[in-house]
Amino acid sequence: MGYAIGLLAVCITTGLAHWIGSVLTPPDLVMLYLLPIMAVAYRFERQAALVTAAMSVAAYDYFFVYPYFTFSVADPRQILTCTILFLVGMVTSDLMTRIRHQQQEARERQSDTEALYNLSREVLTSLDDEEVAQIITRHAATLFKGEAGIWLEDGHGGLHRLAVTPDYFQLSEQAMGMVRWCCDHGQSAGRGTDTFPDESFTVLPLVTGRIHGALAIRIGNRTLMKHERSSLLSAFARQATLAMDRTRLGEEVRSATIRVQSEEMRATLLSMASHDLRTPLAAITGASTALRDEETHLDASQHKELLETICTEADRMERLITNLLDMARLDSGLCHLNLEWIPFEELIGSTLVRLEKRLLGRKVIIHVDETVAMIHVDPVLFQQVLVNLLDNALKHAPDNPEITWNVHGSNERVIIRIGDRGPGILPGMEEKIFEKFVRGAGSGVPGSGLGLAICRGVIQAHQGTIHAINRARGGVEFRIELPQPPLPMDCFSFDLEAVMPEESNL
Amino acid sequence: MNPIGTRILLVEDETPMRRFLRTALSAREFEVIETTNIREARLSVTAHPPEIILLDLGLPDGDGIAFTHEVRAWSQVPIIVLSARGREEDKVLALDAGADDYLTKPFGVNELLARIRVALRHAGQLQAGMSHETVLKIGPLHLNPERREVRMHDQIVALTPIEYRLLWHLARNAGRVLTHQQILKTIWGPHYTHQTHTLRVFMAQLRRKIEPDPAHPQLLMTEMGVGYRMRDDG
Repeated sequence: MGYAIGLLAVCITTGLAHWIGSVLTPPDLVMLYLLPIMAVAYRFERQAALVTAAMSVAAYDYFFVYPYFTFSVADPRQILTCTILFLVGMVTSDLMTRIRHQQQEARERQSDTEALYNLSREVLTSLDDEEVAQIITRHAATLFKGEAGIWLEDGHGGLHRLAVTPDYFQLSEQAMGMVRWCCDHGQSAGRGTDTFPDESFTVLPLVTGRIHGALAIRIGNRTLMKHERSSLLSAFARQATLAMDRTRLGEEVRSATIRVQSEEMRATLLSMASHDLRTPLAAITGASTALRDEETHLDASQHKELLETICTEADRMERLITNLLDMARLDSGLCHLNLEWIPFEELIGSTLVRLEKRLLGRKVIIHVDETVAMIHVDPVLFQQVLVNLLDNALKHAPDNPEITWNVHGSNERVIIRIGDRGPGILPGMEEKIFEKFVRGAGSGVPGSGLGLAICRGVIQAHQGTIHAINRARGGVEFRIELPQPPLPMDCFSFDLEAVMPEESNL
Repeated sequence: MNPIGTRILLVEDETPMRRFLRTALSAREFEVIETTNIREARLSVTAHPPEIILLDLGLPDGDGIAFTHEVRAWSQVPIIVLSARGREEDKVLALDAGADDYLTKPFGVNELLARIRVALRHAGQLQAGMSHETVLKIGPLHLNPERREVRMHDQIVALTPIEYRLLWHLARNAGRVLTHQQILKTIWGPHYTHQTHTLRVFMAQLRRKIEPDPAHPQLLMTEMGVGYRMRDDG
């Protein structure tokens, strides 16, 4: 191509020189012949420029050097002119080619830098190895117009394929051997290296203190396999190593943080639980050993008292264990909601029945709005909330009998307010009391510190909120807000009287 | 009902639990046959037919629920499940399998004895073939099946046919927990067993008619997440 253009350019120049030759001296014509050489050198390879230079000299000699239309030269000075023309052409083409190469290199470097920049920007936002590996292989495959894959050691001596682009990229048994060698030695192998240079692909190590892996790349475009590109390849591998190292580090930091947090939590939970479990157990052990060993010294009332202690403390222990298990279930996220429509009255009724023994002489004033006949909750869990809140009121306001329940609905929400006239909550503790093992003002009151934490867990599972506020005229009010779907039509209109079966043996 | 000599089959693998139950029940003149796994229980149930079975669920050679199904295939002997699994789903599973009652560990002796009493009485009624003429009396509540008449403190209560059937079913099983499924199946038929909310609405209506304070029931008790139970103090 370059040669043809060169020939054409020389012809045009010759025509031009012939046309304006009458006003020019032969040395000017020599200058004119530099033009095609420069043009070809700028655009094409050095050989084409040299050939153009030779053709220029030939054309000048043939057309403009006496004797005309022969290649012979009469004037020895003209030999010098022709030689200089050829030399100038050579030097020009050299310079031009060099400039052109530098430009091209600069362009390539720029696109490489851009490619690396894009890569690093993209991997910065990714959070795990696999995502990073996918981004890197995708970029590598695009940039080198080929196929790429990343393998990591899996910690059991095997290699785990983290990501490949495109999906069908696979390595042979022997190639996998190279990947393994590369991981083990931390050196590149395959094409463009000293190890297995005949292979069709290159394997680069991705090795740091945290990761052991390799990037295998098969370069599709031949011109991209030149030596200069191998630096880009290693830059790529470096980038990949850094990015994966960073995500590993991030993961380690995250899991370490979680570990520390959960260990702190477990430590608190264990110390609290062991204290709270040991207290009733101590009473039971004490009372029962006394009954066994000192029966003869005990009178009837002491005997009865010890038995009473065993029973109440065993009850307390059971409540605590139940609470701990409930809490663990809520925390584990394994607790799925069985949402059902249930009359609010039934929830209240079963709550009061469950606390019947402790309610003796206490009045619970209940007001349920007509609009909240049915409520959509998990009956078992929600009843637990009501039991815990009522239990809380009974414990903290033992002398003041008034406990009020108000239930009303508005805007697809139901609001439940449970108030007592007890001592209230210390200012600033309104939210804290819902945390595990945190107890309110009356710390002499027995309890696990889990009741309200369970309440909050259940209410949050229902997408609702629960808050505690001190009431104006003394006492605490717990306020629960729950979202409510519209009542299904069949709840009341479904006329079951109509589907009464035939008379049976009831 | 006289418990003296009543034969109880105890299926329980925990030695301390067996010791406690043996002591408590023998003291009440029950005859206690102890087994520690399902294989032994299966042999015992045929060799010395018991009048009641106390069954633990987590046994070394299988699950108590499966054993319940097995026994129910040929016998109506009352089964009371004693289990440390306290979740409502487990109770429903056991009751629907045919267990008569479910006690979560830990429990007191009095509670166990009360449940045994209820189960034995119910079994006795089944055997005697309770006639429709018998008037059922549960505290202030009197049901006369012959006249389909319900009286509360001698006041006649007007009930719809379904309400009456519901009340009669619960009263006949007084003291026992009936699961939602069991009630729905008995009263409305097998196609309505998912209509739990409808059952709840009917129960609410029934409470309004029978309970002095429907928000604090004394007779129609809710076993949350499981079903309903007519309280029985007798």
